[in-house]
Amino acid sequence: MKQKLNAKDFILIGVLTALMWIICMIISTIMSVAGPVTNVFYPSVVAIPNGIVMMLLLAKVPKKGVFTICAAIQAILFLLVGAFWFIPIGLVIGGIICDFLVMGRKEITMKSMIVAYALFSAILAFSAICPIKFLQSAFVGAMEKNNIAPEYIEGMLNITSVPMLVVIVAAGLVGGLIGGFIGQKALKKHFIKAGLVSVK
Amino acid sequence: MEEAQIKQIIERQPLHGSALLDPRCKILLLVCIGFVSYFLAGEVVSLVLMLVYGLFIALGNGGKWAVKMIVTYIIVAYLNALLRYVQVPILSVIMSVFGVTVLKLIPIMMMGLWILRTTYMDDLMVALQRMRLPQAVTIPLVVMFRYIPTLRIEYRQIRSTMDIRGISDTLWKRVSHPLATIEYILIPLLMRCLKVTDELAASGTTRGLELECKRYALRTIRFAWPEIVVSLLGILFLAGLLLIDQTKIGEIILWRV
Amino acid sequence: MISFQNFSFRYEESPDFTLRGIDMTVQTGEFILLTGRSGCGKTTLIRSLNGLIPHFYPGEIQGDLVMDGHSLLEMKPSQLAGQVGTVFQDPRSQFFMTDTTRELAFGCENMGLSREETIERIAKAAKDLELVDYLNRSIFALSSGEKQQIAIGSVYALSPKVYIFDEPSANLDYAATKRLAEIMGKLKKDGYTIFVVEHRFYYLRDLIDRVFLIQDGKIEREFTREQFCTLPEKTRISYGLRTAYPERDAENYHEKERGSDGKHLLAVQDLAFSYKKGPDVFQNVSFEAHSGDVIGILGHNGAGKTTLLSILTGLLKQRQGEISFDGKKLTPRQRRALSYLVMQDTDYQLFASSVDEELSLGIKEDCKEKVDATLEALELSEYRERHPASLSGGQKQRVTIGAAIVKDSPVIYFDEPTSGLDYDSMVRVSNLIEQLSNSGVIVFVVSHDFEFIVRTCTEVVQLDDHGAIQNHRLSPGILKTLSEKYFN
Repeated sequence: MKQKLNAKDFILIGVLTALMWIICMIISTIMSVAGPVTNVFYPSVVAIPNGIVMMLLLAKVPKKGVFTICAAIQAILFLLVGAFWFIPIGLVIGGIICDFLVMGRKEITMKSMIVAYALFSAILAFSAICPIKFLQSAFVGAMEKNNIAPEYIEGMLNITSVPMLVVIVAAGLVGGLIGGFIGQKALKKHFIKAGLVSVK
Repeated sequence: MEEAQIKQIIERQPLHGSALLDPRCKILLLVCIGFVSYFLAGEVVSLVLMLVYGLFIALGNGGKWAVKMIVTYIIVAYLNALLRYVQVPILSVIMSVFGVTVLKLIPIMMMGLWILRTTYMDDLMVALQRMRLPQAVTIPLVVMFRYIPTLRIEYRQIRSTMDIRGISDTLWKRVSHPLATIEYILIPLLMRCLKVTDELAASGTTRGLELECKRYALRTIRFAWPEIVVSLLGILFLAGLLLIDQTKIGEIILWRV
Repeated sequence: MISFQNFSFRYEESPDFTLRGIDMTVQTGEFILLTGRSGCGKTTLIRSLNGLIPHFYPGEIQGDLVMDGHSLLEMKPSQLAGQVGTVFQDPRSQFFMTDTTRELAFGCENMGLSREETIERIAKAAKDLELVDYLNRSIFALSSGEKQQIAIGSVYALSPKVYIFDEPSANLDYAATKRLAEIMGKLKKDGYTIFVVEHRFYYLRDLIDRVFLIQDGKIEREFTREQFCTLPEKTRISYGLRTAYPERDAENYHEKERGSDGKHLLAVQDLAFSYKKGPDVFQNVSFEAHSGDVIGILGHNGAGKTTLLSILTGLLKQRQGEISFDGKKLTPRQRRALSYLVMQDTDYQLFASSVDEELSLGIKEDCKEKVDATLEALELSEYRERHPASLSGGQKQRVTIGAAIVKDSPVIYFDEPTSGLDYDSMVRVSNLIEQLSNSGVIVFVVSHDFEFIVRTCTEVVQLDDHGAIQNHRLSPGILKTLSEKYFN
């Protein structure tokens, strides 16, 4: 694990992050159009196909820093398309944590890959949902203006506060686990079998 | 053609006005807007933010884009106001939350995509390098911007083959076997990604990509007086908006049907 | 001067040496062609010249490689950037920037040259290589040939002393190949040392100084230009080499018998197509194809060959006209069911995790016997458990052809099936197509490869600038006009 990242690794990170980004954009757009409720769950759905990509990336470049770079670049793109600043910050912090978690050990294993990926996806889900908490006053204002009964507003606040947050983060975690699991199956079925990567 | 003429062609500038600012200045403004937009509650100040930055963008090759986004903004704002007539309890709660979020997002998106369109890749690389960001960020970022358009072409190629071979070619097959569909699309795409990476890396390293020299772009990239003035004005303007938002003006209701 | 001194190389992941005891000395200003069968080690040889070996592809080196008195082995590829310039095979995956001018400047900017110096250099590159018309354009809007020229320009701006071309014509049409030869001729005249790795080398025949034939990692023979171009056909074929004079094939052409009795008939009538709001890509396209015909679709890049293929295979809907099979009009969906398209890039066509599974993918009924028979016929039986991605390029192509046979398509389309193939593989594809046609399949081939067309096709369909199409039985007369168009 002492090897440093080189230009080829950076390019692979760029290429695969581009793919993950596009998948993320497509799914989040579809889910936003489908309805505001499904919208908040997009990180956990995105995590499933992206699991395949991320598992390949980790297997191909088992070096320290992959998670962080990948997260940092996605963060920059999120900034460009108007995401709340909490998402980029959450992404980078999540990336750094996962890097230490996986790469702190001597060797990257299937197990550590999947754990780190699930954690990463949970952090992403958390940072995607957090704005709701921050924007609460704005929402209340909008709802009052729209003549919504105070009881409902209260109910809404309760939902967005703790239970909803827990559910969404848990969904992110589960999505990450499923994605990682499918990703590793695909890894074994295709890339390892074809001799393109090897993982312990 | 003479070399002097060719040099003129090379230096010819399709960009003008605010589009010519140093990428660092544009990014700084973007981050500030991203921060402020979510904290502005008042409808008037939010619209002012939108209009002023729309004007800023229109001064730099972004006229059409700014108009499009401002129109979108107004439509969404009106639709939001219309919600008061739709009294379906849960739905209207959710819709107003959604509408508010979209309104906060539009100014940032307007600015972000404008930056993407008006920034040359080499300017960006130079700017990022001057910000002391390592190659670990600059290379993947540049590769990414270049690879996203290619991905669409490659996806189409794969889908063509799938259609001809009868693999996940009907909506029913896609819905009933979503995972298989993902696999059939992603695996060839990833194989291709691995190949492209090898070729790009070979082509890049033989042209000195790994050298960490100080870069110079085809355009002079400097954080000079115009950038300093624009950044300061931008920040002052946003701070002012935040302040005004706390006063009576912030409470004025603009969108009423 | 560059000299390989008893140079051997073994890739880290491979048990055997790929290059074994190469001794070769090349003088400054020489134009060297490296050729030989696929997998002979010629690509490995040039990778050691530009520093990719050992820094990018690690492995074990023996012997030495010296350029102008210095060993190249210690130098990283980026240090060699100003000295050795490489142009790779696929122009699509060689660029980093999104516009042409910045792509030309990319190398110079990496080297940390000043702004003035960079502009100076790319202006010179644009002038010398006649790239002015391409400046300030989006790379994505360029054709393969134009991208290739920009790639050469970007290397030229670094002003290296040595140029390396790795199968540069594999993705080019004949006009772009001609242009490539002109550029190479200019580089040679200016005294640069040039190495070219190539299978289809006819366009280099007036430029070559010496040719090295590589076999199994060793230099099998060395030729001068005269020796190489006058090799007796038998010797040439025994080395697995393509011809240097494809137009001569036209002179010795014998008309082929129609393969089968014509039990199927594909008729195209009055076809026209345009993309949304755009002008017609082509119009008035009509032709007929019978079972057993092998029809070459010819035309320069941009004439609409790929679009025509997409319509025939049912991926696009025509704007006007109809396509019928045995007298029955076909919808795009029916066309998709009838046809099979073997693409130039096999990467996009392989989905399964084993060859076996690949062949039966998308087939509803039980087809085990058929898969077995097809694998046998394509000499792929021993690879049936392997992952398609682990096979060589030629083998992957055979797997996709196998899928077509199992699908039982009565019409099969090939898009540039011989790009990057050596003589043996080209002949193999040609024979496979002949077998398909004998079994009553209608075969369409889009190709720029004259040698292959002459060997394989029974008819040609020509798309010209006005979009009209001509349908001809392949005959010595037609071939003569074609060869004049290609080679003069």
